[in-house]
Amino acid sequence: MDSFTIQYGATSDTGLKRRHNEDRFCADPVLGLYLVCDGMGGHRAGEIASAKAVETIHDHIAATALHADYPLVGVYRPEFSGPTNRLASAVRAANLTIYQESLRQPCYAGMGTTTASILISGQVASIAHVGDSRVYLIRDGTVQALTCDHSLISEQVRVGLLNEDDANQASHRHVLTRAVGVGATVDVELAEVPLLSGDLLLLCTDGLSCVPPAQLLRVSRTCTDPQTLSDRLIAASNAAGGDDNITAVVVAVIKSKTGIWARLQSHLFNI
Amino acid sequence: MPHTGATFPRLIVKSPRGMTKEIEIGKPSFTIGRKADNDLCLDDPAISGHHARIVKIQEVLFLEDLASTNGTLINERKVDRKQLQDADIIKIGFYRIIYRHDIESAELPFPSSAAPGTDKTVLFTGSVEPDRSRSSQSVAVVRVLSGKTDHPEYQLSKQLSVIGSQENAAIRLTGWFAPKTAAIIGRRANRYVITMAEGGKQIYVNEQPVKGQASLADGDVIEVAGVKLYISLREAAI
Repeated sequence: MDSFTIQYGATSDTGLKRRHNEDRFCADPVLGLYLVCDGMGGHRAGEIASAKAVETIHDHIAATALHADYPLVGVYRPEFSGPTNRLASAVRAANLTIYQESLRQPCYAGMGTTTASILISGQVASIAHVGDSRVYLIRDGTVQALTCDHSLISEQVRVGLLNEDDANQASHRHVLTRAVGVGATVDVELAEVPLLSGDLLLLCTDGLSCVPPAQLLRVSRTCTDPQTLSDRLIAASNAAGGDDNITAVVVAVIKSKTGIWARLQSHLFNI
Repeated sequence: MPHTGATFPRLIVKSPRGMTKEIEIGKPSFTIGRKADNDLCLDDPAISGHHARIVKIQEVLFLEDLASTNGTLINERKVDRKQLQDADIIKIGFYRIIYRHDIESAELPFPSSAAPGTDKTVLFTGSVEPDRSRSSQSVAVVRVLSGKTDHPEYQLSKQLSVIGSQENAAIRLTGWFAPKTAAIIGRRANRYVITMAEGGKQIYVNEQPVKGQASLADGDVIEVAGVKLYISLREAAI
């Protein structure tokens, strides 16, 4: 049925000013799962949180893909499709895992992570996000943010107290209003987007926030290979200061042959 | 600046949402912070639990920062401890606080932008209550003008509504050669956008062929896989 194929590229970098990379990502084309996480918490707890989130979300999606009756975490939201609810459940499972770990080990107290995750099933991309990691959709020469940051600054901009320029200068830039793993439950923001061939989805951590959307678009025009593109985005972010860890996952939706052989091949090899 | 002595010095507190309130400094040690046990409690995640205090030492008031995380500014300068002067502007988190101890100048008109609604800020507490206010929006209704479907009318309450013959399609086509997915209508912040199925047949909105996707407005007529649909946007509870 699918008449497009997915290609992806992913790059993660410590940036120019930090010593550790607390970002983690995952790209699994078989499951259709792509995600980035940006950990927070001292003494390397951030790395633990983001790594645990990636692992838990991946395992949960893999388990629910295999067993249709696998129990989901949290409330089923009927306005969203099954895959979107599975993705939300996976993020909630990660929340619980990290939260329990932080209670067990005093040195991990208060650790948490952001996440921006997409699960592609058929023509639809399910999106789940918590914190200030983002998902952009680049389509027809325009770039559109599919997520709104859960950060103090972003809330201020939304109610009109700050404009975008001030927000980039503000000292509370990194105050999050939601994160995975800091409480017993987490409110996961969900969305669904139908994909078209030619679309590019970009998942990134806040290290890339210093690169304005217009520049993302310019960089995206310079190449078609997703891996080259994610590498160039990291380079652009480092050129703009490289203050933070940066991770970019680029998912390209490519039109594929719809002939009988191509369809048979994709059916047999499940690609 | 002469001190009248008859009135207490006051703070005029301006919240990030534009609400203002006045509070008297009626104690020798007056505390400011996010926690409820402060004399002035400010609901802002950028403010520490016990952020600062104002202490009175021989009729002179001093502001002390209590080693807060994000600091305290007086007239845009970061301070640890400073004597307060009339009309000083104290900034704590996203709150602006004006210190007044002269009753006459305090009567000056103060810009109070009328901000309706509650003064609620989002707290970084970890236990965030879900905000479902966004979902109580108007819901589009689709009426079938011609063609074979399983119902004559549909409410588009889902984020994405599939038009097609597949089992979980929101608008289910029952014609003999109806495609599994003919088109998808997506809802984003009260806007509806129709997207053609990948590799599917041409769809039309108001008899115009759609290239990729198209925004939908009230009264639009969609033609897809031999079915004509009329879109109406009306208020409905979910």
